[in-house]
Amino acid sequence: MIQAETQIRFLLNGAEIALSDVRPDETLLDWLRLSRALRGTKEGCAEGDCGACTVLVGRPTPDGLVYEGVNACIRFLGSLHGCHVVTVEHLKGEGGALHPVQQAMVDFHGSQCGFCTPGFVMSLYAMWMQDPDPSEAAVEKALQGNLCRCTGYEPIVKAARAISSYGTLEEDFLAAERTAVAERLAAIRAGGRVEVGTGKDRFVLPASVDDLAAVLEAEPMATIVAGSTDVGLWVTKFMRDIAPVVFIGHLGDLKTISERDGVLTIGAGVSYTDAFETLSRRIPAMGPLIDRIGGAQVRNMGTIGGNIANGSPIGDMPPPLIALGASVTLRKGGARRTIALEDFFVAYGKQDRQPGEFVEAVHVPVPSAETQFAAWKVTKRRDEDITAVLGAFTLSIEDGVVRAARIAYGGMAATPKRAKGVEAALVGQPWTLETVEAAMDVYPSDFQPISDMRASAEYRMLAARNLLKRFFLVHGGAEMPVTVSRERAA
Amino acid sequence: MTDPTKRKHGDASDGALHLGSPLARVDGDRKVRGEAAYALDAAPAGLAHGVLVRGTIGAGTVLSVDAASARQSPGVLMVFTPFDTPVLGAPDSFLDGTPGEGPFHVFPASILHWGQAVAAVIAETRQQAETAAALLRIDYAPGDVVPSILSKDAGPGVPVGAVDIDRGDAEAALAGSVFRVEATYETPREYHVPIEPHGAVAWWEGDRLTVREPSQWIDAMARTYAGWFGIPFENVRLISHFVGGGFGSKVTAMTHGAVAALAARELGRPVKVAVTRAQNFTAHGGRAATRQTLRLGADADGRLKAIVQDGESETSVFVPFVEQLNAATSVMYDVPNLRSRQRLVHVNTVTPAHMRAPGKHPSAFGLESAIDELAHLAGIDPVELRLRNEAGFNPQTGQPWSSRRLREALVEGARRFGWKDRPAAPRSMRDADGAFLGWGVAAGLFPALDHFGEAGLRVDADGSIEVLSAGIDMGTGTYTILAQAAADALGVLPGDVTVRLGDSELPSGPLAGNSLLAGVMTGLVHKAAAAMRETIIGLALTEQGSPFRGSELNTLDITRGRIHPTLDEGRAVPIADLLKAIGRDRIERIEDNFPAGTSAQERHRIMTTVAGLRPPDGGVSSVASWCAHFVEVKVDEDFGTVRVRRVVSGFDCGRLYNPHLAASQFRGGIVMGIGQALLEGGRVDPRDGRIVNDNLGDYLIPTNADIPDIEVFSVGEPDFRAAPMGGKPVGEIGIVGVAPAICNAVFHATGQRIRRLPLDIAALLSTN
Ligand SMILES: Cc1cc2nc3c(=O)[nH]c(=O)nc-3n(C[C@H](O)[C@H](O)[C@H](O)COP(=O)(O)OP(=O)(O)OC[C@H]3O[C@@H](n4cnc5c(N)ncnc54)[C@H](O)[C@@H]3O)c2cc1C
Ligand code: FES
Ligand code: FES
Repeated sequence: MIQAETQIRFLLNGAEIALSDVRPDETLLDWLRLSRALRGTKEGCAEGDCGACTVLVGRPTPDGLVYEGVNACIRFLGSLHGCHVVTVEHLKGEGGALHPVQQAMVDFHGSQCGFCTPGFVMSLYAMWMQDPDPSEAAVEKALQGNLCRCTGYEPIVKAARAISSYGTLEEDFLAAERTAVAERLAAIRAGGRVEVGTGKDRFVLPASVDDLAAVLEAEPMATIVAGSTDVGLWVTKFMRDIAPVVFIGHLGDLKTISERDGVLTIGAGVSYTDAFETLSRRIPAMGPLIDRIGGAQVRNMGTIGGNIANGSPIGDMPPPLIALGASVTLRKGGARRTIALEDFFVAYGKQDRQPGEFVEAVHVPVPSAETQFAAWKVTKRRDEDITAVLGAFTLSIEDGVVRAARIAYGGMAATPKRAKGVEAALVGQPWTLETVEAAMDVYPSDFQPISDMRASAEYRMLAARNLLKRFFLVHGGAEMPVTVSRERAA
Repeated sequence: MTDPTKRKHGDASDGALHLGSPLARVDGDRKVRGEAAYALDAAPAGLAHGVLVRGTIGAGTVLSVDAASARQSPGVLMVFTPFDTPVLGAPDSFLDGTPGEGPFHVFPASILHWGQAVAAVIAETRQQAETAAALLRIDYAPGDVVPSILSKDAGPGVPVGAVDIDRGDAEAALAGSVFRVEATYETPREYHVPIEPHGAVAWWEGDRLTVREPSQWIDAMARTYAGWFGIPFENVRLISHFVGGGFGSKVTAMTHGAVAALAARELGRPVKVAVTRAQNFTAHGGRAATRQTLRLGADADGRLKAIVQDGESETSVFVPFVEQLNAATSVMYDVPNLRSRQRLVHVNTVTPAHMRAPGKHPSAFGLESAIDELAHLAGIDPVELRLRNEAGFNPQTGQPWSSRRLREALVEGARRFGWKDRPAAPRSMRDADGAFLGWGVAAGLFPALDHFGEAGLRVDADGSIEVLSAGIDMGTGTYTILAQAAADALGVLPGDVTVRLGDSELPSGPLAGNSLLAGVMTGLVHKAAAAMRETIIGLALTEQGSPFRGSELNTLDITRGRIHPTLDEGRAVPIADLLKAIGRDRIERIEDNFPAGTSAQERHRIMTTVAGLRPPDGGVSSVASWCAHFVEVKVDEDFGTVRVRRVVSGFDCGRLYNPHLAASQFRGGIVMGIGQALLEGGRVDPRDGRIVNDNLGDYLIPTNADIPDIEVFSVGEPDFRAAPMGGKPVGEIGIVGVAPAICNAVFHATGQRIRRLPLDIAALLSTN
């Protein structure tokens, strides 16, 4: 049995923090505002939707220290062990002047009421650190997770593009501290398991994946938390008791992506942001899809593993991964099993996962050159909107004939689900509009969607069918891409 | 924004230096640093935390509340239920003259709408309060619920009467018209959704109450607190230095504030009550849902002969709130015959409230959609049709306009947009990818109101210059434009002026509503600063110790904060030095615009009730802002999705006190209008009236990606009948007409009329 550390330790702005008394569901936002009197970080929703609470979290990665914007309102305090939290109060430019991001926001009139402003400042700072000369598209991507009700956004977009005219990354105050911070964080992380709290009310950071397995075997009913972009809302919105919590977001072994024999293996702790580069390079259609999940803050925290484990019928990863023929490895103690991803989703709210078992990795075959793959998410609002219908298609077409088809949808049934009847109507048939139209008639045998707040059953059905037609037009007929970039008049 | 400073209109060419120029927001610095202190950032020592508990039935009675385990829960200090909450006093209604609602029962046992607050828990921490709140066992006797205006049992409603209009003989004129259109238009419940939720922090010192709360109307809110707690108005200090957006939602004191102040009194320590995002959908009302049937008649040239309007708006079962549906209908165009009726449909909802451009938005949605239908029917270009129906004077009152440059906005907007290339027929424009494109236009107006008030100016021997007002800045830019106004009149630089706002201890300011605060306060500050200037010059000429005393000059000038003989800046003395030389620490002036002889009591009434609202220009002319929006949309018929691709909007708001700030208001209004057209609407559970989408993930407001390029421009000219400094309303006009412009563009793209907001993407799906 590993001797556990009993303090959550991290850096907050310039200070080193060590907390022995941390409620398992205490959020970073509450702690900052109430315990630390750092009230520049605002609460607009407490559900990850508005971005007013955006702060930076720096964490060591194999590529060095990386700072990312996160939603402090749904980030658990305990999860910050070994990280550097940077709030708006810490920002500074040369000699007490405003930081370049702040100065740009002032000069371009980026605030009106100003309540959203600290969140925007932090999102833009995170963007600028990665990309000091952002394109308009990059700015838009960086701002997806921040709502402003007053300004109409344009001034903020302009400010974002001008930041580098106010200062350089090399002169940035965090750059100067970088090495020192990285060393301090490495020292904090050198320890083993961390466990704070007593009895049921504990927050546990296992030392390793093996330790995670051990912790879960001992406590099979504990709540696994990866990015907390779903679990955070259980606390802030539904007031659920989630203790004890086992956090996995710090485990480097779960954050790896590798490729072998044409199959990508993605660790359960890999965030959308971390997966983006590999996935969009190897399976290009996945890039734009990932870009439409939440905003940058949610993608920085949220994991593909969490999206799968959460089992929502409107999660955006299962349909494309099912269409690609992905499988998932589950582990309990020392025992592992790997099953087809589609078999993981048993029924609404029910997955094939035993107590104490956890998702270790997902395996995604990269489509071959002859295979066409696309996935499209249909929403009402352009960004930061939950799926009404999501369709994903993997088709192999040889000599004008459909040889194989895997089609899966989100939002059409109680689980992410394959369109097996539609697939059957396509396979063996010539890849023509007639075939596609015939297959479109088969949808009612595969799906009986329901009406809810987001879309009616009829809408879902029509949009689902039209997605197949869209796929045909793009991969056979006229080129008609569905892009994520903001539409502008020529 | 096309920089209006480079244009003749709305610039500073009337002689002013700073007012009218695009000065950067003076509070920008504090906002980007996170230092601007909003109400809920206050954390006085010993703060306790309260949470409100919402009822979960749509109508009925609270039979009992079992609070035993909640009271035992760790950290709990106090639990309020319908059965053990002290009844508060009876403030008079802020609707002047009407009786107040009597003693205030904070948690009435009778439930009138879903989500009505039924209890509160106060504890050492918010977490403890929330935990305990979940332990309350509330027993209800549910009653029959009328969930919304759309429910079958909502009935036809009751006539409003007061807003009815009969002009000429509309039915006869309609019958005799060459072109007639008839359609019904609907708007949903919309919510203000400021990014700062509501809340209050309250504490007592003896019988003096201090409340930190986001407020659009400091003095009226303070009056309510005074009435609730039976203390003199002067004993309430309401502080609202920064307001994180209001849009009409933060005008009156509400339950959360009462609970904070009550608990603070009972516990003898400060108490904070934060309203959660979900509670913000039921703790106060949004815009009322509306429905109106319009019949328009026109002659062969498209000249309007008649409008007949029959409308309903939703309200609660306990307050007859009117969302006035003919606010635009009755004055936009020259119509000789008009008949308008409105009914109120009482349902189990929280009472609706004013929301940015109340009445004007739904009214314009109906009218400007119907005008487009008429243009299509008559085969007349919709811009041309509007120009043909321009009203030379206010057709409802007969008053002349103080100024009306709608024609200029339409003509210039059409030019900038490239409107002349628009094919008339729907479904005739496609994008490169095959999706349909459409162009639409709509106009809007915002009638102005004037108000009374005071403004203070203080000059100190330490060199500080302060503008003082209880008026507030919710992002609209009050801090900035008042510094500009004071600088011009006093002869200093805006950077030398500190503006102090949002505190009931400061000179009384009007409400930040009906877009009137900027016009009223710039005038008052100008007046106070000009008086201060005269005072300073007088002292310089006469006081012992002044270098100018006995100089035989009969006047002096003040330039960049220095007093000097006219035309001789060489002998300039800084204002602060003069004060020191003559042995004064401070000079203070308060100016007002009350009629002479107004008693203190009367002033109080005027400033804390709607009695202070009055027509501008002494009622001689009719004052309104005007706008025209041109919109391009792209519709993907495979999924019914609509994207706004381009907006060009022209505004006549008179003189713009600060073109940057005004552009920001315009743009923000247009973005909210895009939300109204495409996204926003409360979804009501037909069983119990619950608002289902009571969060920011489901009540969709526009994100950056929903927003296209927006070009705004000003065609306004200084209008000194509208306001002392020549401006007209800016803050709300931007929203008016945006939704119909978008829907008209969607019609042009697809041939489908959108008559219900927000537009239902399913309606635009092609089924082939
Ligand atoms: C503002 C906002 C926008 C969002 N937008 C989208 C969107 O567009 N599309 C979308 O699909 N989702 C969206 N989400 C939901 C969420 O971001 C995703 O589902 C995310 O992938 C969840 O990952 P996580 O790491 O945050 O999971 P967590 O919240 O940490 O966990 C989610 C669930 O998975 C379990 N879990 C996590 N990891 C494991 C594991 N290794 N083994 C077993 N169980 C595990 C947890 O116990 C929990 O039940 C959004 C959320 C927010 C707050
Ligand atoms: S408070 Fe809105 S995202 Fe955190
Ligand atoms: S400035 Fe008010 S929400 Fe952005």
